[in-house]
Amino acid sequence: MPMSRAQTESGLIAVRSRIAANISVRNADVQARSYVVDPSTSDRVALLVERAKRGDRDAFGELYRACYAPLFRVARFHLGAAAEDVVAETFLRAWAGIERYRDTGAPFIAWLHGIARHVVADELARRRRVEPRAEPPEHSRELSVDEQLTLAQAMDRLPEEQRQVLELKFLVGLTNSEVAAALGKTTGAVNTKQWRALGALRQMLGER
Amino acid sequence: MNPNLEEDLQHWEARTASLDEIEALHPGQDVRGLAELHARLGLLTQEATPDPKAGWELLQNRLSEKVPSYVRIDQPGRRRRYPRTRRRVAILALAAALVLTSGLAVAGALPAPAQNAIANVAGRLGFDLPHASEPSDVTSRGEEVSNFAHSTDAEGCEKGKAVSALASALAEDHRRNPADTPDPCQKTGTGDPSGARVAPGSIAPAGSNVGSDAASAHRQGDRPQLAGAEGSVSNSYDAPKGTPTQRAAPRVQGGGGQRSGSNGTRARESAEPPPIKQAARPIAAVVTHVGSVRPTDRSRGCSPGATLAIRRLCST
Repeated sequence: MPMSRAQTESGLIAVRSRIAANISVRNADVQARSYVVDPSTSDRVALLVERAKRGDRDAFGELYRACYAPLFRVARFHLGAAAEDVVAETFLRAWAGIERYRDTGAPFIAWLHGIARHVVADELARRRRVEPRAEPPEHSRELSVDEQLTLAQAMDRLPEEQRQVLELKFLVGLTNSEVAAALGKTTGAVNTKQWRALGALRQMLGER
Repeated sequence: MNPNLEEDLQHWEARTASLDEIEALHPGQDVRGLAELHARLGLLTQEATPDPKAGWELLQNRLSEKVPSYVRIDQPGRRRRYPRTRRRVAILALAAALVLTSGLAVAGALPAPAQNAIANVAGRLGFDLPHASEPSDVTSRGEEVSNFAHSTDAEGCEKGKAVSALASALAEDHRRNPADTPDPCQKTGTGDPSGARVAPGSIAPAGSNVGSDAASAHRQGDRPQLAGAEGSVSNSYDAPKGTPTQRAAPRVQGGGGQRSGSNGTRARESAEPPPIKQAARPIAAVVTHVGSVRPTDRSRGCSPGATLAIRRLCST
């Protein structure tokens, strides 16, 4: 039996009110999942950075262990097997330039991600010079090699800010508010960019 | 993408709305496709990564010995390098500037104020450097004589005498050499062309007005009757037709001080070196004609930029 217009509208209103009611409950959950913004963690990271600035290798080692996984994912997503080398180079550069790091409220990992992006870009440029085509990323358990290669290529075609949002969110693992802090934008702007990026990505993948 | 859809998908991501609800709100949109892509990307975060311990062991050996910046600043090698280089550059620049300025000063090629100042200082130190030349002053003296010649109401030989005296006075000012200035209106009685004599260093030679007067008189045929110029006329050379003197004569009534320079030069060329006659002070001769200068011209000539001779005239 077809629904009348009034019934449809009342149904939509009910859906919206249910959504609004759920927001307050879920917000607490989202805050709990945020691990870098947690004051104790960020204070701990800040302390380690200060010690590393003074040449403390142990502190830098702790930072390395804390930030290794996200950077490794970024490197593997773009370069596959060379991820280890990229991470090592990223930390070498970070060690050389950590004195220039200034805490602007953005997570420390975002600063490292910026270095990693440069290392990845350098490596990709070197490969373009040496090899005729890009080497497919390897050994992603969740996504097939083809899938990951296609996704990486499509992501590289996105506008810079949209690509950054997706990388920081899905590879580094930051929340939307952390991504917003890293990019100097509002959370709402990051939300919008994320879904626009996903829309564009979906369109690109659908064209293939 | 519909902005409302972006907002509603955010609710789905935050688990405050189900996908069915979003689809119901946005029929015809690829809501499920977007959610699927989001989930696929979300899997990337969950991928396993190697243990960082092994990587750190390797990396530790590659880390260079790091010295914090506040310690490095105190290193003596770094501290001294930059100031020493800066000092060297400054000394080299100063030396180059000195050499360049000295060279220009010796060549007299500096701007006049700088050249004069440096020449004065060098003179005190015992070096002889040229002072700046002042060609503009010469031009202004010529203009002053010309202005005076055009503005005076004097006629004939008196005018020529006044103009000539002024020119001589200016020349005297210029050369600081009170040379004899012959009185062009004074009869010499020698019969030689003394009227064409040129006072050494004078811009407007004494015989110049005489030459033009003589040419004019020659045309009119009344040479002996030329008032106040008898001696000069009788003694001066006759300017041949077609000379600049002759052409200038009709334009400048009563003798043109303005053209006197060229006439005087010609007179100098044609005449034998005559004995220089002591004349009255030229400035005194000029003073007698001050009253004949028109008020407007006097005010123009008596401007603060006028030379000493003109100012002397103006003050009287």
